Amino acid sequence: MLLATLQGGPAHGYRIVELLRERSSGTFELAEGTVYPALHRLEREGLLLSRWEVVSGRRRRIYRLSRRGESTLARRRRQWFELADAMKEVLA
Amino acid sequence: MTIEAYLRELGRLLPSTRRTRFLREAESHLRETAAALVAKGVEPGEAERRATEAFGPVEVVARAFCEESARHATRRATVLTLGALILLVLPLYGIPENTLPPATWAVKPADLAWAQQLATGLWLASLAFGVVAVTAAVFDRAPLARAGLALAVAAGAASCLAAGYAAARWLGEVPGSEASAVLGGSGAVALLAFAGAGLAWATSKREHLPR
Repeated sequence: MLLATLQGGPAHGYRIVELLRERSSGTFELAEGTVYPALHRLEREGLLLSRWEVVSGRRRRIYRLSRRGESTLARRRRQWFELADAMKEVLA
Repeated sequence: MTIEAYLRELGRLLPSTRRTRFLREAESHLRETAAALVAKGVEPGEAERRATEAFGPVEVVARAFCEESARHATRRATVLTLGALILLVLPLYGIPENTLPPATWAVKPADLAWAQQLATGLWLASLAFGVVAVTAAVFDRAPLARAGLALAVAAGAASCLAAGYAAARWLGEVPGSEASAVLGGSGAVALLAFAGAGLAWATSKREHLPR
């Protein structure tokens, strides 16, 4: 999900949390601070890249997808849709 | 809770690894949340309280961060351990058999042969534990990785001792040997690498917060 929020372009943690909340219509109400360790893990795995930027006088750590992150997102999305389709068939 | 107090408490619970960066990101997030609330007409003190509440209880956030740090430290330690194991090959057989003057004995002294075999056996055991640790770390099985790492370090250290004894005996038995510095250096490098691996392992364990 975190990778998917960055598909539209780079974003900082605050915006990523906003996107998660908006896209899930409030379904994923999580402690906002727990998103950052997950972002750090994805960065260590080479799926994200990040750097500090100053926007309107405020320092922000901006995250973006790496090439590996993009291909991983595409693969996981495909796997998820296949699983979701199978579940629909079973539950229908 | 104010943002200042929240960050102070969070900083107290976090491990040293990446603490500064995480605290900066947390502060940036909290101040942005509070500013957005103030812009909606919320009183500043109440905005800070709501921002810290949404960020999550300090213990929950710190635990998530510590678990991530521990996972990374375990992986780092396993890589160090494998590096140390590879280095151990030098003091075991590479140097004594190939670079020292030819041995003068017709039959190798029993204790020397025994020490070499013991060192090799322990090294192989250490290598096996190291492979288990790396595999477990790759598949995010942190407890198994740490156990494998601990055993690899213990077996590796014991192998170092046995190899050191064998090297000392070899140098004593073969006149004209001048490779003591090389042998000592190789052993020291291996021991240092093991110490580093052990340290990283200890760190990975320390970075777990009690539940």
